[in-house]
Amino acid sequence: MTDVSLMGAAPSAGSAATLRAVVHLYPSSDGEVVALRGVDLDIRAGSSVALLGPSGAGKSTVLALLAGRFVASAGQVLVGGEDVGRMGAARLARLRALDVALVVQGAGRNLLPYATVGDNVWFAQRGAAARRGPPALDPEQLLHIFDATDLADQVCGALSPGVQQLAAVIAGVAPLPGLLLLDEPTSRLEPSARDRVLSAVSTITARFGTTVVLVTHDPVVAESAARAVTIRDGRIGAEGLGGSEYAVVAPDGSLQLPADALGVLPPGSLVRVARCEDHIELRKQ
Amino acid sequence: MMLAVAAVAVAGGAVGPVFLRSAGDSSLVAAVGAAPVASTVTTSGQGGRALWKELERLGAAPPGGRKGWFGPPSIEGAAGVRLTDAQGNPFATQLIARSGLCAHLSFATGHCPRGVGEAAISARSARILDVGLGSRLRTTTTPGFNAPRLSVVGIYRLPTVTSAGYWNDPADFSFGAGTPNLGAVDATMVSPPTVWLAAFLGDVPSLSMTWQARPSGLRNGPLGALRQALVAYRTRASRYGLTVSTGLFGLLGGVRSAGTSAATVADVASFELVGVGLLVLYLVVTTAAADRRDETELAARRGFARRQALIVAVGDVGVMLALSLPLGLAAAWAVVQAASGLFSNGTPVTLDWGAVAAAVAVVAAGLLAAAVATWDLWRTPGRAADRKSRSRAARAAAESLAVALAATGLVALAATGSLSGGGRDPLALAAPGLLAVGAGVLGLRLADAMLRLALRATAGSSNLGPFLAVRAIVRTQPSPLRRTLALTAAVTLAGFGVEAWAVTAANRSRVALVDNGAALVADVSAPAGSSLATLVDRADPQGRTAMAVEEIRSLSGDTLAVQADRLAAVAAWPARLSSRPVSTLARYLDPPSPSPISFTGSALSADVSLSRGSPPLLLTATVYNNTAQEEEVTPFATLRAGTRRVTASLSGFCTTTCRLVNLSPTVAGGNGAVPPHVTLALLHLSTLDPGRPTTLAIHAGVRNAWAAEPPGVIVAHGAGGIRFVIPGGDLTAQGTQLTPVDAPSPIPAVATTTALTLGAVTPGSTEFTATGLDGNPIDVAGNVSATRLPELGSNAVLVGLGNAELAQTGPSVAVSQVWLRGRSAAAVLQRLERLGVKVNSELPASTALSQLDHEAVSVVYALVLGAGTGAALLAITVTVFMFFAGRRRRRAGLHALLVGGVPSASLRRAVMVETGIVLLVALALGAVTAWAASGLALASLPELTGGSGGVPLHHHVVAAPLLAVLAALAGAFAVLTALAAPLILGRGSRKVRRGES
Repeated sequence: MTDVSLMGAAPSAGSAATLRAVVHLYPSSDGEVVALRGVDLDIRAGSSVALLGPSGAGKSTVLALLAGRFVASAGQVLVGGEDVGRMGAARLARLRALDVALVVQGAGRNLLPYATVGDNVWFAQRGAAARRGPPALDPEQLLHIFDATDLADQVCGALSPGVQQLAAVIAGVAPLPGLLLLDEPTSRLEPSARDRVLSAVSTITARFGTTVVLVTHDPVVAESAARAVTIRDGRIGAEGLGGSEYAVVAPDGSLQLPADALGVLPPGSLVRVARCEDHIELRKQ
Repeated sequence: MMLAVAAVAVAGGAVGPVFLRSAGDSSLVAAVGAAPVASTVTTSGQGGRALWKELERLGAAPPGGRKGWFGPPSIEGAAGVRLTDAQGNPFATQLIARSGLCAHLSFATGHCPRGVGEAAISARSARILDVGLGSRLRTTTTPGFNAPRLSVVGIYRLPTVTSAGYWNDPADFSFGAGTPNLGAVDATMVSPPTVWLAAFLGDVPSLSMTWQARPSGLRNGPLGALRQALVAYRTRASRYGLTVSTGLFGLLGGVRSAGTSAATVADVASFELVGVGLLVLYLVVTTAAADRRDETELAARRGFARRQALIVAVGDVGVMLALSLPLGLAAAWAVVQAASGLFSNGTPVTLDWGAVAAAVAVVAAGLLAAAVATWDLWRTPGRAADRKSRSRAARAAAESLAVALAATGLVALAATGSLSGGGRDPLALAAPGLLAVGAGVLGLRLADAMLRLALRATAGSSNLGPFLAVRAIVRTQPSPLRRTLALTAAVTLAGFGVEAWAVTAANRSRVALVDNGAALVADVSAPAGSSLATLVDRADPQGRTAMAVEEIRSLSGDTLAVQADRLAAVAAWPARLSSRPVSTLARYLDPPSPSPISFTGSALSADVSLSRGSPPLLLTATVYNNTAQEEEVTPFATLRAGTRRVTASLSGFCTTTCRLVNLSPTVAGGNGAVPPHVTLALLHLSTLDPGRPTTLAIHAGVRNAWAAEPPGVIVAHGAGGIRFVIPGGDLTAQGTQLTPVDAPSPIPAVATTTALTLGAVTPGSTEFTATGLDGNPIDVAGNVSATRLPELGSNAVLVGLGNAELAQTGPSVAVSQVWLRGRSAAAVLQRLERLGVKVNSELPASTALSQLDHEAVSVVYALVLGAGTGAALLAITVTVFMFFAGRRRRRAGLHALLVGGVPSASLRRAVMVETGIVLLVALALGAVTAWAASGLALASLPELTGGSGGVPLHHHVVAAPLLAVLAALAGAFAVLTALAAPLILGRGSRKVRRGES
């Protein structure tokens, strides 16, 4: 792999992202469905965060809110200190062109299937180039960084799913955004392909300083991120940090017990909360 | 594909102005060609050399300057003079000097007159004047003035006089006219100075300068500018005491008036084609943009600027539309060029600014349609939420607006009468478009609802194909049913275009046939002594091809005498022309009557019984010679009471067939004592032919075989003879006529409503007098009325030829004709010629039809047909397009089903059923709408500039052309339906199938 700085390209400064007491509702035929119920999350600039959780927990909603695709029903979503929910259409377009890149589920939806990987990277840079001038790294250089120059002239539609996903990630980072949002980047991939994608994500964080938020069901993928946040029933339930998993106390004081603790304290249990000097004890009644 | 659709739409916009321009020019060319005199501007005055020079000066600057409206002028000077021959006999002639004269005369001998006193005369004038080259002619102008002699330097051949030619006035060559004391000879051609001499001799020459309008020049000149130019020219001319006259304004006004109707028809037709084109273009753009949705959404996620997003969404659409401009213009020109056979000869096909502007407008509208179609895609990406509901609401609003517009338009059209048949409004052409949009929207909703029901019904079926097809239509966004709106409009326009063209063409043909009388009308002369009807019977024994006709035209009304038994087969007689069907007219016109009492011989002998007490009576017989067409009155010996035979000499009058017209008894020797009633019985009638008596059938015992005038005479038809009881007063006063009833009286006739109105003795009566074949009045009963009669005008009667001949008492003054129809017409005509009939001229109905077909309002229906054809092509094009556009997404979905285990045969069937449903709905809706639109609008469309002249026009929907178009479209749609599965599934499905195996 070639060092970016050696090629004269300045790494992008990662953008911090924050969700403050975010509630989001989806309209449905039976009324509104609560997707997020007061989520607080701080993502430091240049960090990598994995969002874990079962289907329907609200992971992808968090990404969509950060990308400005939805406006939060309540609360604030800040990217680089700016409230995404208050942005107009033009500011949103600028945000998407320069600051936030979203790679949605399914590699095909992030690529022009009839174009080559090189063309896709070029296409991905157009929005930023129109606002900021020529990109710091041209497609060839970018592919070189990810050791994927052999893909430059290959048509995306003819590539294997794993390579397509890699191309989608490279295209996502092509405009050198401050925040890269990856929705299930490794789902349905073979382990080798998954590892190649994860390697690319590591490169992005390490070389460009880009803040990466990725949604996954896969614990292995989550472990590749510096921080793992579990979302359950629209709340932040737990957070893995430095190899340890922590339960997270919500602003309203609620606490989601880890799954294994539910064996001891099944739902409906009455517990006595005993405050000790430096900890709290839960005693079953 | 998109380029093709856009090019058709642009061509649709441009073809109207191009076609209309050519149609207008065609009308102008035809009008100017048909009325060369009316299309001239003549400047005239009286004077000599000075005035001639002024005319030359005026001629240097034509009206309108260099606009090219007129050709070079022709100046003529004419003076009436008398020539005297060697014996001193005077002859009248015109001295004529004219510009270009020498180029338009050919000389038998000598040369064209150039010097003063030189003259050229015609060969026949030279003969009667007994002069030759070098002779000198003495001239006088008015009595008392003597002119110098003219020297004959040339003998010219008579030129051909035609209305459009250089020599266009037959009066210039009026040899043989004049009076017994002053005969006329042909014009004497001289040079201008010779004519000027006449100015000093008492007869001031008439000078005139004629500008002939050039159709090609007038095409470029607006009427207002031409009028201004002529007013200015007239003012200039009046300074020299010259007057200016022209029929140009009336001519151009007529052309423009006819052109206005044509223009509206063309505009509406073009508008509808453009409308369908834009609708299709909108559909194509929407489909193309939907196919590009992934790219556009990707661009939105990448934060593309508005301009970039626009290029991604509709960049290629814009390029296609831009390219379609020259292509569409070229196509419009090519289409009109291909249709140039419809126009008068020499009509150019040109693209003018109007066509370019129309094409640009279509492109602009196409871009707007593209922008609207892709609005959601290319606008700066905002929030995804609410878009779907907004778009649904917008679609519902647009559909409601379309239905409301259609309903309002139809109500408005119906309210103004244009759809009730009460008016002739070109805007009725908008009816199919309005109906198509309204019906399309409602049909689309109905089909959608029915398919939703079908979805439930097919859900439990083991047959997967139909279920998948219905599901694809109901669930896919945008629904394939949306295509039905454009397709319905296209099918409607195609059906209506063909129907309008077919109905108007049939009406023109109907009018042309009635104008002509029959498919072919020949003016003929039968050999002397022959009956034309008899010859026609021999030449066409079947009675299906030819009909003898005698025609009288008079100021008081025209009469047509025809062979009644051939009328239905040969004459142009459209339904509803008369109050009774033509098939029943033969019996009406020619009811059974006793045969005429016809004979030849030297004398006529009668056995007559006269009642006792009767004074001696003088009996005369009126006989009519059919060949000589003359009548003769011959007396018998005086009758006395009792029975006796009396003889009347025919004095060689009846060597050819004669007919007894009547017997007339009067009191011999003037007034005597006459009883109240006298009974006269005719017992026997015979002729001596020659010397040998021949008994004639007097129809004794046959009821109503004889009639008598005045009405007081009683007629008894006994077996032994005819007995007449005559009031005594009638034998002394006005006389009595005893007439064999060999023809009905009054003669049954078909009379036009005008003839009935003008001729009826009392209001409501059907009896009146018409003109007989000999020009004398005949009594007719017009118990059958007609809106008009074939060939003749609206003030005319039609009678049986046999009856008309029996009513004849003098030589015929009628024009003899043979009317023909069918393939055998030429053969029958040849047979007639072999029988001695001379054919003087032939006039086919196609001549009249050709004139009608070249009227601007007629020609423009070809454009309506073209719009229909264009719409049909658009329908097919858009159907093909829908296979290609979006097939990537469709294929992906289908492949997912394949992978999921759905058999490929079910998928192919699903695609076919889906395509078939969409096309079938459009075809059915389009067919019903075209039928309804035709029924509503056809009667309201302008068809013939001069009206139908009483010929009933038919506007009911003719099934054949409509069904033919629908069958063609159904065939095309069926092929496309069969191709749908392979086109959409493509090779990918085979790959997957291989994977399955």
